[in-house]
Amino acid sequence: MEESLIALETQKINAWFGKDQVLFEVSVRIPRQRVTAIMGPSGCGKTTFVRTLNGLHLMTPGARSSGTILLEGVDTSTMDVVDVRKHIGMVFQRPNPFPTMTVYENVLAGYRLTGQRLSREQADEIVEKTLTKVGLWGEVQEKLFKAGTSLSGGQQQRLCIARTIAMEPAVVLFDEPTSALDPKSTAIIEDLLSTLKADYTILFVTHGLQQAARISDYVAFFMMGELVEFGETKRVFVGPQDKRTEDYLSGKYG
Amino acid sequence: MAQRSHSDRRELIREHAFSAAGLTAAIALVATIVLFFVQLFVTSRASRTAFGLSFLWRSEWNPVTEQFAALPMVVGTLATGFGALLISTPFALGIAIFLADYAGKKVAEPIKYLIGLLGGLPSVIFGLWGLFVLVPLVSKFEVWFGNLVGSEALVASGTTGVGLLAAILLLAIMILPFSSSLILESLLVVPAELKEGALALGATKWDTIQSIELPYVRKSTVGALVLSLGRALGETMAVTMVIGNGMKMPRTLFDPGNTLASAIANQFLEATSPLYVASLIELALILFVIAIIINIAARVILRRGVQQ
Repeated sequence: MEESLIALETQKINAWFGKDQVLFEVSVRIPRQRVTAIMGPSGCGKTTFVRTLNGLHLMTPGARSSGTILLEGVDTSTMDVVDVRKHIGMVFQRPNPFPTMTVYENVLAGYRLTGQRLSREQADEIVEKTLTKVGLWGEVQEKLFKAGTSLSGGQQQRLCIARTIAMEPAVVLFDEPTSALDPKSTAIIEDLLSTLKADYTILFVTHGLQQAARISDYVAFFMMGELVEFGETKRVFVGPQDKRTEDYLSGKYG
Repeated sequence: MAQRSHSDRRELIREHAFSAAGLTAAIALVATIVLFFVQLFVTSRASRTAFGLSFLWRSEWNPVTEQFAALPMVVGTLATGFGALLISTPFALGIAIFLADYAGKKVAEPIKYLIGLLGGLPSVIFGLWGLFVLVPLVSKFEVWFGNLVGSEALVASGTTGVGLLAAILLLAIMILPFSSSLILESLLVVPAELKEGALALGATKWDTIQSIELPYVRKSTVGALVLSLGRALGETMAVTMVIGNGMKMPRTLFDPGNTLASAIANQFLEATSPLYVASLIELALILFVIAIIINIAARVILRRGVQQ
């Protein structure tokens, strides 16, 4: 791949919780405006990996990490962590809209939290544009000033996606965002990814093989904290190069 | 089959017996509260018939002429209670936020323990400390303040230091362990996923506290503060030791005053005439009603806080 096509690159990422090392020398180059699935069995370090990318890993008491992360070629350790998080957004496993805010306020939460002032028109425009992007505008137009938590689970998760992309990040991390949702809401969010990738580089953590196959252009397969294999999704699924990937795909590990 | 239905029946009887016992205990508890009220109401009859409702808003308290009224004590109670709440609230919030979000476990745990210890200290110890440490400081401040505003009366009275201000400061310290640990408890249950959600959007820790955590605990914090107020209003021993026990209507914060509780504690033994006793009991009745109102208010706020 050419350099200009790489949005995010990690070099030898290690991560620890206390004395336990959970990531080992992870080096990977994430292509721009593609969906990259981060895949692997439970406890393989895939969530920890994405949490090191935006510095959330270090919020856990006793957690450490080492290695270099290049965002558009810039070493993120030279940036303020707050700026890193503005460029690398994140959607969590369980929908977590802010319960004290309305739907409208939730979309703009990033602006409010970081103290950026918006005019009424700008705010209205961002809310409508972003909610339209996640396919929620029609559904919640009448509920804009109700609590964000009053929406259904699937709608809440799309609200959280809206909240994240409202900040116009370059990269969006999805940490198993559909694992708490019903199949229909899951399908809606999976469909959404194919339109979102036109604007954003997406990392999508999942433990579901089928889901990875459906949604991703590239897969990174993790096991026991190591990056075992990385490549185009079709290539990895059809002809895995590592024995461990092959075993996982054929269902030998949970 | 018969065997089984026999043991079923025994089980049933046991269950009935247990629930009856529980019900009795619960009724006894409610009855105690009601009887308290009835008792206070009945034994304060002499005072109620002599002074009627004007007991509440007149301010003369004179055992010699047998004129009694509660206003100075009601004012003293509310002024010290709300004053203490006003002063201690910023500190309580600061302590709770620090322990919840800034101090690591190694720092927070021992401090939490100390706060609990402070909250369990007998109030007479606070009273002694207030008398020997706080009152002299208040007295110095009063003289300084009197000179500042050019009031000779303040400078002269500043030699004592006892009064409403000393009581307010002492109460502020006494309710601090209570209010800060209640606020801390509610901060600790703010879901981690909400904090992470805010951080992931580029918020700083302080942004997160301000815009996510504090709004989330707003109602339970108000509930905690109202409960603390209830404590302050009912505190007797320590207040009695530093408030000066003046039965006149206080005009400034430096004046000696009295609260409902401290007036009762101070004068009950010397009350000889039936009307004097009844008047003190009516003070207790007023305090009882204030305490119940405050507690109900706190419960209502707290319950709404949970439903959020």
